[in-house]
This record gives sequence, structure tokens and C-alpha cells, in this order.
Amino acid sequence: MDDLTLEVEAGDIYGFIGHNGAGKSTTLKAVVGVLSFEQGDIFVDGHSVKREPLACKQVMAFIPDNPDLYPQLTGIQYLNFIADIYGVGKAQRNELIKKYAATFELTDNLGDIVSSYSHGMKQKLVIIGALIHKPKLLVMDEPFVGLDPKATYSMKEIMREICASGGAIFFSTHVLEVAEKLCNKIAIIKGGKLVANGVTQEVIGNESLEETFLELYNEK
Amino acid sequence: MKNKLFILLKMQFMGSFGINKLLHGKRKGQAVGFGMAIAAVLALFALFEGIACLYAWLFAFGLAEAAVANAGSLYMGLVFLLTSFILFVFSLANVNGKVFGFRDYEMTVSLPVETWQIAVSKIAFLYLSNLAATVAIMVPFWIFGAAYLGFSPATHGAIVLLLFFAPLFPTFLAVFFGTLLAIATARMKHKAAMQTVFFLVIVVAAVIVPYLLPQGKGSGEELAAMAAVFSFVAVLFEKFWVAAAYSAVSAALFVLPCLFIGKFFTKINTLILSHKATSKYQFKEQKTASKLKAVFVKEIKRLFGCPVYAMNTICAPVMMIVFPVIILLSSETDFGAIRTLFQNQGYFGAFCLTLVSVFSTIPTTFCAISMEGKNFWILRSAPLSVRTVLTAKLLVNTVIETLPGMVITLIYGILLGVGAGYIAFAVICGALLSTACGIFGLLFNLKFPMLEWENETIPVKRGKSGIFTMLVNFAAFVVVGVSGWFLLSVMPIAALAVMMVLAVLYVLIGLFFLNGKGEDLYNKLIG
Repeated sequence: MDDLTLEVEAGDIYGFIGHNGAGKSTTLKAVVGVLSFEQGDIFVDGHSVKREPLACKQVMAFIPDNPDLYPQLTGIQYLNFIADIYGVGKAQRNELIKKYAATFELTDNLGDIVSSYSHGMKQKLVIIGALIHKPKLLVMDEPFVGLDPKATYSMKEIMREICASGGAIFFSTHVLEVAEKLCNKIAIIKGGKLVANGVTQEVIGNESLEETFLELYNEK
Repeated sequence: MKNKLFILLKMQFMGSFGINKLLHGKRKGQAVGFGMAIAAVLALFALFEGIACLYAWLFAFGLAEAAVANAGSLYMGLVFLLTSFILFVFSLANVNGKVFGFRDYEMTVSLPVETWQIAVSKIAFLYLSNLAATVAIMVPFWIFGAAYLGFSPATHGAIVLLLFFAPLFPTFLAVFFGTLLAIATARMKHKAAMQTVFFLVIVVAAVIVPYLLPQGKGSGEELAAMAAVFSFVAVLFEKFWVAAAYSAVSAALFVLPCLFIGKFFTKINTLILSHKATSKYQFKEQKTASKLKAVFVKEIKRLFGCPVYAMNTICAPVMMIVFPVIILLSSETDFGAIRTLFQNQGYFGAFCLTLVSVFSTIPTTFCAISMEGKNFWILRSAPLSVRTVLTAKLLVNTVIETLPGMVITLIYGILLGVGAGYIAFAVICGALLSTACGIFGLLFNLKFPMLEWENETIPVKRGKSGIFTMLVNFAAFVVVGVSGWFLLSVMPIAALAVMMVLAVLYVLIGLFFLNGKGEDLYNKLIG
């Protein structure tokens, strides 16, 4: 990454767009502390990811592009594991696991071992795990891949709810139509550099996001 | 056009033992100098062959001294039996994951290749791996046996023949039972744990059975009894035609699973790979746990959920429980002889430390980091301190290796009538050394992590951390043991004190590195 500066504010749904290999996943993983970085810093809720990683991680949640989960745990064991790690109390975990498992139609499968889940079911489980501690910042890498249409709709609704309640979302996607409709802010990255950034309407002007993206990549 | 079977075999070969990564690895730290890699492989091979030569010499020399009739054929028969058993156990663990249910199954089956060719290539690769292991084990025994026991031309001929045909029967048995096991457990919720239990039962049975066989009194009678019991394998190396007949039957049997699996390959894989979800979960009140407990429980489930990991680490504590039973099952003479030996109670401490060293040099921690694999993002993105993660991983080792070691040492002490002070020393010193082994295992895994793997066997069996952990821990036990041994006959209390001080030092050195270097290494890991 080269001199990347972004600010995600409370209430933002921030879309992060770029070619394969542009550096989207690297950036997202650096934000959530999965990857370390040499220069610069990332601040989450006023805390430095470098100096106070635990304080940052406590208020964040990450949904990776590939839902690699512990195959030997059952769905409910995974959710309890995540809830324990984030220190979620009994009442909140019972309420939110029940709520989100019902939303994503996963309740019946929570007793099954994760290795028996399909890709979409694993993705739903990761999403539920990310939501049960009510994160202030939700960082997602291609969150809609593998989700069925109903789950995709539910996910968009949840994203809007989080932002309406003062949270923020920073996510990467290749689905430009979704980004254009859902995001109030957009950042476009090319070769590790930010080439466009700001309020969605200001970035795209009178064009569609797809046209803007292709122009920036000199492919139109 | 190249034969498709050959192409499939070549692809497996290139994907195994890190060959492709060695030749084409681009990521930092993956591309190793070719010369360095060859040197490392040769050094490991030399180490393995050195150990095989040592055992071959000890065994051949012992039999030559005892002047047993038909010693040559008995010697090679036992080596053949042991090799076959090792090949069977390792192949059995590899059937589900290598022959069936392998990661690139869908891609491979979608290729324009006959499914029987895929099945045969998988079984053939298993045979070729076993062939290499057979040659590596049997050749040193052949050389030392010929030198000390003098083989007949028929024995030499049988050895040459069986070098190639010996792996066939254990591979057939492993594929047969492995297929049955894979099919039987395919729809079970905890199939990995079931497979782990099955493997443990086989290994424990293999250890107990020889003690249940008829035994003589005194070394001469012991050998005569052993010769009588194992005459059925000795005959393979006495008459060449028996070896030839065995080879022919093995080859015929080997074809059977190839035919069966070739015909039902897709059906078996579909059964294994398509998990049956029960979809009957009823929501219940959930309970909370501390961060440390949550990670610890996850680690325990990981250990028992992976047969190859469990077999590498749980076998030792299971054996610690089995050995006292064996002592009780042994004849009165054996038990009495052991009791007499430990009338010098200092020897009890040395005996227990030797026992702990055998069991603790491979702690659960040696691949605890590598086993995270692609799931490592979960721990990295969670609000968990490095110390909590590492402590949880060490705690697993304490529960699986150290605590059983302490309990079994206590039981040995009571069974052998050793004084309370000596028992206390053995329990504490053993626990310290076992803990240190766990710490060093974790340190080596942090130094040599292997997070990118397609099969759980790879981080367990092929990681550098396992080799370094074993060698360093073994060296530490040798230092502690030798230091104590020299003083034991002169001044037992001083010997025990020296051993205890060295054990404490080993723990402290490990903790010093883990707290400093270990945490840095963890933070630099890329998930």
C-alpha cells in the first residue's frame, strides 16, 4: 500500500473497490490486525491498531472473503467461542444469537459440525459471529459472496441498521451496483494507491459507478 | 501423449514433501536455496538412517551373542513384521484424506480421466511412499544382519524380493480397513474423534499383545519363546519359495482394493464428502466462559478432531497408562526384578525421567500454531492478548502430557514401593521437564510456522518445528539424565538436586524466550 489515507465516520457505509490484487484485502486485514504494517498508523475509535490492538479489536468485527472456520466445532460452539472472546454477557448472546440465527435461517443447523456446512452457511455463521458483540465498526471483505438472495437482503438491512445506530461499515466488493446503491462513501484503489475517494455522488458525478471505475482504470 | 496415470502420480509427487514450493516458492521465506534444501533433506535422511543403523546393530549383535538357532531369519522376520506394522498404521491414517476426501477431489474428478485411474494413482502413490520407507528401514537391518548373523543365499534373495513386495500387504490392509472406517464414520457427527479412538486402540493392542504371548524365564528362554512365537515370519527368510508365494499373494490382494475402489471411487467419495446435517437444533440458554477457557476448549477440540495430530501427541500419555497395566500383566519375575532394581531409590527418579522424556519430547504445542492454518484470522482479529493464546496452547500440553505423567509417576512409585521423597522428586522434576518441552515446542512452532496447508498431516508430519522440538528436548533430557547419572551411585541426593536445578533452568530459559522472542514471532505471523 502506498500513502493510503481514509476516514470512516460513524454512520458511514464505506465501499472499497478495486481490481483483483489492488490491495483491498491487505488494507482490510491491516485494519483488523490480521496483517501487520511497517509505516503509518490506523486508528479505531481513537485507539491505535499498532499500540492498542486489543482496544481496537474489541469494538470491531471482521468478515473475511473466505469463511475459514474451525471445522471441528458446531455452529453454536463457534458462536459461544466468539462471544466468550469478546466478553459478551449471557443475556446479550442469547438474544442476539437467537435473533440473527433466525434472520439467516441457521437456527436448525447450529448443532451441526461446521465441516458439514455449505459455503453460504459458513458465511452466515461468520456474519452472526461478527454481529453478536454489537461492533462499532464492521469490516467486511466481499460479504455477499456465497449468500442466497434472502440473506443478501437481510445483510443489507443489518448494515443500514448498524449505521443508523451510530456504527460504521467498511467493506470491499466487486458488485458495483450494490456499492452504488448501498454506500454513502466510496474509495477506489489501484495498484495500492487511492485514485478516488469521497461521497459516492461526488465520486461518480452523473455517471454510474461502473463507468467511473472503468475510466479510472483506463479501460473505457 | 503422456499416460494419464503417470501425470496423476507426478502431480501428487510434486505436491508432496514441499517439492513444488521448494522449486517455485515465491513468498518471502518460502524460496529456499536448492543446495540448502538438498543438504537439509540429506541431513534428515542421514539422521534417520543413523538411528536405524544403531537399532540394527544392537539387535543383530544381541542375537549373535545369544547364539539362537535360525537367528538370521528370526531377525529379518521381526524387522519385516515391525516394518509392516509401521506402514499399516501410517497408511491407515492417510487413507481418509489421501485416497478419499482429498482437497482437490472435485477438480481432479472433473478432469477427462477415468475415475479408476485416479483411484489407482492414489493407491499407487501410497504404495510408492511405503516402498521408500521399507527400503529406508530394512536396508540398514539387512547390512548389519548379514555382518553379524551371516545370511544364507535364500535369505538374501528373500530380502531383495520383499523389499519391493513387503509394502503391498500392509498397504492393502490399510486401504481395506481405512475404506471401511471412512464409510462407517462418514455420517457420524464426531467422525474424526471416532477415527482417533480407533487408531489408539490399534496401537495400544499392538503394545499389549506381545506381553500376553507365552514368555520364558531368563534371557535364553525368552529368546527361545520369541523364536517360537515369531517362527511364522522367520520362515519367509528361510525358504525363498515362501517369500515368493507371500509376494504373489500380496500382489493379488493388492489388486482387490484397486478394483473395488476404482469401481466405487465416486460413490465412496460422495458418501464421505457430503456431510449429513441433522438440522434439529433447539435453541437453549447459552453459558459464558473466560477468554482463556474459550481458547483452551477450542484447542482441545482441535486436538481430538484431528486423528493424525492426536495420534502424534495422545499416544504417549495413553501408553503411560497402559505400561503399568503391562507391568501387572507381566510375570512375577519381571515385576520382582524391577522392584529389586528400584531398591536403589535414586534409580527410580532416573527411570521416571527417562519415561517422561520418551513421552514429552513431542508435546502438543509443536504444531499448535501451525494447526490454526487458514483459521488463524479468527485469533488475529479477536481481542485476545498473545499471552492468552500461548497460555491456552501450553495448558493443553499440561493437561494432555504433564498431568498424566505426574499421575503415572505417582502410581509407579507406589507400585514399586519407592519412598515418598523420591516419588515427590520424580513427580515434580518430570512435570518441570514436560512443561519445558511444551514451551520449547511452542517456541519452535512460532519460529517455523506452517499456516498454509491443504491437509492436516502436513503441519503435523512435515513441519520443521517437530524435528527441532524433538531434537532439542531430547538433548535437554540427555543433559539432565547424564548429569544426574554420574552422581547417582556416589551421592544420590546431590544427583537429584542437580537434576532438579537443571529442570528448573530449562523451564526458565523457555519462559524467557517465550515472553520476549515468542510474542514478537506471534505478532509477525501472517494468517
